[in-house]
Amino acid sequence: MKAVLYAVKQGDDWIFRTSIEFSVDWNFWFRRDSGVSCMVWFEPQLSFGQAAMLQQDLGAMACRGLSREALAAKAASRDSFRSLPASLLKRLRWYSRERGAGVTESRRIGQAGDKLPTPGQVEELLKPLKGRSLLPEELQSLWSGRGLDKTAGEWKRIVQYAWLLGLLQWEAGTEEIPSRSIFRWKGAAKHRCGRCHSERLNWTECSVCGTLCPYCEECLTMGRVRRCTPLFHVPDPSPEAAGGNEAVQLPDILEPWGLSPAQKAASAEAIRFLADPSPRGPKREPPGFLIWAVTGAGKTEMIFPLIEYALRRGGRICVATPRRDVVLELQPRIAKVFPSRNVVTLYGGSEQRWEQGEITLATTHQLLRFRGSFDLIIIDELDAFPFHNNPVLEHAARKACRPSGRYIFLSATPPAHLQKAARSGRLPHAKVPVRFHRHPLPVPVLVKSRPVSSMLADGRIPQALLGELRNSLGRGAQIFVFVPAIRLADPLVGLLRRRFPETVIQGTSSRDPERTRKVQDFRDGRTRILVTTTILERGVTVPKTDVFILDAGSALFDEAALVQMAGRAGRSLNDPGGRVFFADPEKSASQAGAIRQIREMNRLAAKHGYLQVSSGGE
Amino acid sequence: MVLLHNRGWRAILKEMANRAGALLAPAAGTCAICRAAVKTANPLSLCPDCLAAIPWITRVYCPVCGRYEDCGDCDRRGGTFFVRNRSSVRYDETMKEWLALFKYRGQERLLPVFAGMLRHAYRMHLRDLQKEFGSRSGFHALAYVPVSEQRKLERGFNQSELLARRLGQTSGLPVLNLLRRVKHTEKQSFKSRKERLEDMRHAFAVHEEGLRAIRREGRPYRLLLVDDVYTTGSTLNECARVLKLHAPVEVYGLTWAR
Repeated sequence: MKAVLYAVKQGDDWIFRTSIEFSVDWNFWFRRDSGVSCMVWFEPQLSFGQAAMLQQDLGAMACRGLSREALAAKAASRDSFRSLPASLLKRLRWYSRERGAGVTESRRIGQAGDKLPTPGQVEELLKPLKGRSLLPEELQSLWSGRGLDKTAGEWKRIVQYAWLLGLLQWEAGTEEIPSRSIFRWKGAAKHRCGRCHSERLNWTECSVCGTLCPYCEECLTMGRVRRCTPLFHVPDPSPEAAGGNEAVQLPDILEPWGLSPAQKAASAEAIRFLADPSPRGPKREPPGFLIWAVTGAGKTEMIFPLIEYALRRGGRICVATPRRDVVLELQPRIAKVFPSRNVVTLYGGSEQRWEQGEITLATTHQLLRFRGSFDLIIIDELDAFPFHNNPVLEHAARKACRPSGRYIFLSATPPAHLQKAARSGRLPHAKVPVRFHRHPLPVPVLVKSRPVSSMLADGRIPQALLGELRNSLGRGAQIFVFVPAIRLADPLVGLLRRRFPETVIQGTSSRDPERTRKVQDFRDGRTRILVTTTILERGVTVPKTDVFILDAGSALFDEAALVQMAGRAGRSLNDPGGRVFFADPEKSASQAGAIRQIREMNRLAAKHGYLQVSSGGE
Repeated sequence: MVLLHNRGWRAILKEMANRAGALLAPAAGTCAICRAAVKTANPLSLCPDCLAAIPWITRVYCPVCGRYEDCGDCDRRGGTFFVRNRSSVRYDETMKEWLALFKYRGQERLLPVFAGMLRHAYRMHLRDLQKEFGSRSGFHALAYVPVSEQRKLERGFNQSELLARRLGQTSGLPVLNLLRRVKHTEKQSFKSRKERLEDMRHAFAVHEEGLRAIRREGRPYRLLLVDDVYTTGSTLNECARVLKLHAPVEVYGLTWAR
């Protein structure tokens, strides 16, 4: 985007400004009561990045009492100015106008009829932008969705005016990383994306600024952020003192949802954390709370009271999950529980892209389009791709949260360092060691078996494994068969089909275009055995299932993956038992770890009396 | 949030080890399209799956426009202002996706891939030329189909220009800035054939400066005009018409896909 760099003389001093729609500034500063006596500007237009950079540098220059000639000369002598491309410098001229006089050495800018909206109208227009961080095309799309695209220039005029009024902030798309080292020499400045903070920038020749100009490759799927693209932001200060003006009674909040004792205890703990004005945790950032809930614990129900609590305090809430289908699944449930609240769902291609709601359900990437927007961010499946070890999404979550906000993390298998932080007391947390149906988790059993590749080579399945598969089919269960690699899935389906010719067997993987249909077939019970890779480890709930994990010792299955896969069994109240088998020559460390974790949770559940006295299960 | 990721000294050591490893080990490439690991070296540095997905045009049925099947357009049009066109690949769904990544999403990192693919059509051109005029003949210069100033400011680059410049580097041919777009036409992708033809008329003008170099040569000047996609040939034909009006050139079309 192009921009004009200019300065106005107010009283004795000069103020530098940037403009993406100069006629607005012209009218703004030469209105009757501005106290501006003279304006100096540079032409041709610069790129937004160049103008913003110069404005910052020249703004720091002492220029009290300078004449316009002296000002222009002083500006031109700055390093920042000289860093512009030579071809541009050759053409760059300054122009000026004294109040009431004609323009010196230049054409006239701005027509007499250019009427600006009133500040009130501008504020109204900025409302949907609050707490957002948007690219020009996103802002245009937002406004045009509200019938505001009369002319191409219209949105720019409003943005420019809002910026001059101090209602809107902007910054160049990329920024220099502030270095803490005193040893950094001048040329070594590193850059990062202003939106996602990634340093994965690609420097290319840019037609707008005529220089090597970086764009961010990391968040490219969310629109291209380039140095000469502005990012627009309208601050949304938290409703001060909104909290606490309604006395919130814990039982009052916890009761209506039909939670089990274990769920209730965890939710209560989390609410106490939300209510605590200064909980434990790092000081510089919004504090977080971990709900460590076993697979099938009923996480969604547990967050209802938290949402209710935050809503009563007048807060805005975001539930961020890694996958789109989870967002879509969550939407009707939340909408049903909070019928009077405005719920917005955001994902790539979502129709509610620019709406603001009291409750926002979003894929984690969508957080990049927010800034200082939420009082409570609930991050679901914290350990799952793409959130796990992705500093970009971590940054997105941090940026989207208000400084006074809180995080709740949900996970069945928190990463090791989080487990450690929880154990040591640095991370406040609650464990939910039991499923909603109050039966213990099925403990995996090792079935001695050869590697899958060897079974495929001679076309034979070991007797022990075959026997357990028969038992599962015999008890009328559906079977999940997990394998560590995509290439094993199809041949194994062939082998199983030969052994169980009567049974409907399917295989799928992340590369399978028919994956959705096959998973649906399995859910509907049309398929008895589904062979798959870890893609199905999370989220899929089928009533009566047994789980077989082949090559369970594979390096591709870590402890967390094993726990998640084992967690597919015994999820329903009708079949809480379920059977889980690790098929491998011997027990690996991660298998032992997974079994230990599951046993530990069962022990904890028994200790707290969460388990139902067993009638038919285990 | 500090707690979200492990930033202990162990992680720092690991990161350092990784970086040191990256310095020592040969750069394990990632596929520019899908970011899968590339284990076997190939000129486009793509992974085997993406490489296999490219629908190369290996057989040309229409000698004029380089189509891979019988060609109605060229029969209907009669003569063309350009001599012939060659394209590297069929513009199928996959190629549409790839071009969208490059052109609309702005993933300029794909330029070497596209430029590498374009060389296939360039070689076909050379083969034809050498069959016709002898083994030492070739092109004199490259030019590109321009986009409007407005489009260039929106997009930040002109993909055809980038392709031409890249090919210029590898082939040693000079790249001339000959044309500019005077009419800001709507996006071509939304139009019918007839609308395109109508629309193209007078969409281009010439840069005198570049033309002077051609006139100075004073010989049949073989110019290779680069564009991303050949659809009906109307863009190429109009560019060729305008160029021939102002200078003694033979225009050949070089397009990435058709």
